[in-house]
Amino acid sequence: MVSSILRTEKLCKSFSNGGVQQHVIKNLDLDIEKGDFTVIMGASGSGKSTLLYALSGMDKPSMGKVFFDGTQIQDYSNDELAVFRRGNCGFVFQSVYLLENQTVLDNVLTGALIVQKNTPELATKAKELLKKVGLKDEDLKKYPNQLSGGEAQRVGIVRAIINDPKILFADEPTGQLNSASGKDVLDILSDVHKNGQSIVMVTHDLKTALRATRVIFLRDGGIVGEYRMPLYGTDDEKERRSNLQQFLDEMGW
Amino acid sequence: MKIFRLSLFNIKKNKKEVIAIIFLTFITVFLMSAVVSSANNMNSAFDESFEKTGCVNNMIIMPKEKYREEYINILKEDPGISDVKRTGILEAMVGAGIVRDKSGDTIAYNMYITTEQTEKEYENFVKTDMLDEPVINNLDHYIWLPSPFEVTLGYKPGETFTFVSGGRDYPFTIAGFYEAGLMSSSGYGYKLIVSERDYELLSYIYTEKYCISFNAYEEWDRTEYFEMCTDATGENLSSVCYSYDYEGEKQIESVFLLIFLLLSSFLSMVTLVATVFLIRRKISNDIEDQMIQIGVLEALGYRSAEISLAYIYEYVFSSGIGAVLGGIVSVICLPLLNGIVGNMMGRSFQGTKNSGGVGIIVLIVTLVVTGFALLKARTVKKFPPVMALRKGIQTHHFGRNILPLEGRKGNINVWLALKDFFINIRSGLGACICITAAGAAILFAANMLDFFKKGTDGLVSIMGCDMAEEQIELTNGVDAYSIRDEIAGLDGVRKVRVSYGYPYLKIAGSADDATVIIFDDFTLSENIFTNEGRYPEHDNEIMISVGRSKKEGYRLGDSITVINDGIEKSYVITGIVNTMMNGGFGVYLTTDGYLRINPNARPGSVEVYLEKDVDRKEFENVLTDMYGSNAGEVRSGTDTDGDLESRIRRVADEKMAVLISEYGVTDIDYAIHIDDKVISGDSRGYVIKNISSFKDLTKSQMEPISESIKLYSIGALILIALVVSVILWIITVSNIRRQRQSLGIMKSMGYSSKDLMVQMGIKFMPVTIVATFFASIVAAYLMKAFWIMGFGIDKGMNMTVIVVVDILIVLFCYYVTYLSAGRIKKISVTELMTE
Repeated sequence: MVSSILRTEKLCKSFSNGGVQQHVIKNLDLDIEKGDFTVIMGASGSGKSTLLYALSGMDKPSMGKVFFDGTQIQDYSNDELAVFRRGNCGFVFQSVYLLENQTVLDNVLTGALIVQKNTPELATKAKELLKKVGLKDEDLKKYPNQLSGGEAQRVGIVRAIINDPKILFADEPTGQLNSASGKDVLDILSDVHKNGQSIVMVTHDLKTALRATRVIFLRDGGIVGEYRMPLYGTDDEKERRSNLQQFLDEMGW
Repeated sequence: MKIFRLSLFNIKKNKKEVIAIIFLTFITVFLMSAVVSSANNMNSAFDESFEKTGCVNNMIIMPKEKYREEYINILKEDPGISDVKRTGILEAMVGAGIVRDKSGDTIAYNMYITTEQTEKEYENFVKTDMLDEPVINNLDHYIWLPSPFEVTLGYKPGETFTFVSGGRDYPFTIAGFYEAGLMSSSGYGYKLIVSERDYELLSYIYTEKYCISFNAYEEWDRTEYFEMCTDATGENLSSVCYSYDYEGEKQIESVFLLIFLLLSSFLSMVTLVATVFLIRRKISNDIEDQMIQIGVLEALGYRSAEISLAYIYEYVFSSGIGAVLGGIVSVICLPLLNGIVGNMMGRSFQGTKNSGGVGIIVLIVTLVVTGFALLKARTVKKFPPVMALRKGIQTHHFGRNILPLEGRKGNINVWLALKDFFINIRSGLGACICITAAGAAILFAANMLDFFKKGTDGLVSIMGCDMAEEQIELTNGVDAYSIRDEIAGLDGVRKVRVSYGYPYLKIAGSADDATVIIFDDFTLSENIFTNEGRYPEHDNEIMISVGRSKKEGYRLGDSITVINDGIEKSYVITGIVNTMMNGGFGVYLTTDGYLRINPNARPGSVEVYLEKDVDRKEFENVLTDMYGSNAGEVRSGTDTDGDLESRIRRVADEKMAVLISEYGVTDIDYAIHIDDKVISGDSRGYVIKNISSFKDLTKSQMEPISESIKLYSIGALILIALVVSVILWIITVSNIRRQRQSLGIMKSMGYSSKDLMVQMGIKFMPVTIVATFFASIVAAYLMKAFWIMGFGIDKGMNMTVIVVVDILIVLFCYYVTYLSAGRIKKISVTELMTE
């Protein structure tokens, strides 16, 4: 039996906008299983990113419960959430968000050293991962502004997985990349997933969503549909795309 | 208009920082205005007061027996000198003038006592605060005190003022206070006025001397006059007299106020530097933060100069408000400041409102702040539109990777903080200057506080002479060495040494005569510490003060010629010592060395060092039991009880006491024949001429100074700590705003707010440590200047205090920065990253 890594009960998130409460997530129940590659889709403003941040402990829900590996995290203080994130989660952002004043290698190590001891093995691991995603030795000494968007995002992914997180969150990781770079990034994520990594990703792109094993469709802060697919690469891609398209059409996407 | 709106937006967005800059400019202008007003008022307070008194500008006090008619004649022959008069005046100096203070304890003052009629020979006798005339007329014993007793020491008309002599109290009712031109300070002495009858009474207690008073012209040279006196009489007048003049009185009354003014101007410079630095730092951060907006404005056709103005308006506004408020408050507080000036000088003073001067300061500070802001804001022109729209590519770091994280051991927060510090090291320069200035002020104030925390103990420790509890002046002919040995055997006596007193000698080529401190063996002294060299050991060796060394250029190994009554002797300088004696011009000779220049000298007193728990009054009673009443006490007796013989004996005793204590008579025998009875007696029972305490005098002179400096130091410490906190708070807040995205990224990686706050704190530590080091050097020079200017001594800093305060400054800066970074807690990860 596959166990759940992340679960929500009646999750709500609202924002105050000029004194008016806007309910972005409403009584949402969700169960994410270990090893799943879950993609959250929906129209703009449907609450995709808000849900991702609430699930990952980046933001606190207004109401409801979030269980991570059976532990409730919604009442954690900000610092407790930080400790929770460093031990359990990895993040890949649409805008990459690398530290501008640090080299590629230091960006990765900054993420690692808050969790792990600074051993030669750690640096070797970081370098190997960076090479694995296609970066060359000389790139490791570069600063973020000297990288292309795709290269920067690959650094972002390595930074996210360097601590072997229990779950990897990705917020439109290909949103600012051209199609070639976007494909490279998705291939890396698929590889990571095949190695057993649980992933939750927000996207509004069909090609990106094809990598998922489970697609959740969000509308007005609630889940309105769900679609499961086999592991990417194990089935016919055309058929996979057609079925997913059909599901999304049904959702009114 | 768009530019002005951007400015208003910045003000609205950064309200707290605007308030902080208002606060700093407020403090700057307030302190500067206070300094300028007080400096002006210091001059006018003395000049106005002196002019009002109509006082002669010179007085020379000498023992009656040393007076020669030539002294007056020389003055009268000088056409530029007027109002030459000789009067009698009672002297109670160097521990002899003991009074009971308000709490009932005894305290010593340097005092002169005169009558109303004689007072009018010196000055106009301007009364400031007094009882009604009929009330005064009904008083048995009344006294007029100079204004410092009211202004500084808090006495009121109608209160009791009590002289203490020979164990007896002589209470007087304070009739009122008057403005004294000369003799109105604790250092030079106070002039007190009593009735003719009471003057007569007190002349039994205190020694009557002659006072030559006169008005001299500005160029008149006292040293030249003394030389003329010596030529005319063959006697050295300068070594036996006290001289008072306008300039000396003004200097002694204003020296500490001057020091406070210098310190306050330093503080105001610290706040000004802090303000300018802060504004430059903030503009720099704002430009970086608003780079894209700048690019958009440039793309729309705004010139860089116009955009720069957006950053100027904000600071013209905030510094202008702070400066104007500081100016207004300083004008409002002017009466209070005048009160402080008057209080410190001991003169009641109204002062004038120098609003024009304050206005100029307001303008200057605003212009300085605006000027520096403009210079920094001009950096906008370095960013053409494309570069600005790309978030000023120049702001990114492409250089060598400083402190790469690979292989680093230890706490990651420390390394990340240090890495960020080194990457932005240039921005730390301004902070370093700022903290150096503030740190120097803190170190200075802390050293002052440490030195003055135990009241006068600190000052006593740098007096440069031993402070025995009792100075026992012996009658002429008494063997001081045998008395020393007898007293040394008494309970509670720690040590006794014979003393030649503190005679004055002339130094060849110097306008400053020297008080001589004489010891058989200086290694036995308890409060004389060499600054350089060693104690004199042989009769041709001398030790001089730091003040004399600095003023007259003497160094170790130099020869110095000492003159006494026509005898000139040369001495080799073996040591240079810190001393406040004689205004910092004392010299030190061994007994043999002193006998070279004054072969006829005999020790005339003993100095008694008591154990800590010994009651001095009880000890004096023991001395009375052993040696009988002292001459000073006997001559002040006024009892009229007893039969005829005892009354005659008492009068005879009093006459003998006067002859012994005042005229130096050594042996008296008397026989009085009344009817068939002969009453006879002699003076051989008198051993002690007078008992006084140098320690008491030091306390009365130094306590107000030490208390003022202590309070000032505490105030300065609080103010600077506040200024430093504001500086660090603004820097930190500004840094958080500039680095919010990086902070958000770090938070997303799992760095807690506390981690980031620690990083913020540590990031500032290298700056603080370097700045504290420089601050220690600056403070050392400040302290040196303070001691030389104020006390004529070269005193180092207390290294323990320096190290402790340095550590405290670093910790204080760390914690203020850490706490200021607390706003990181309030910002969520997503807000930080996407704001």
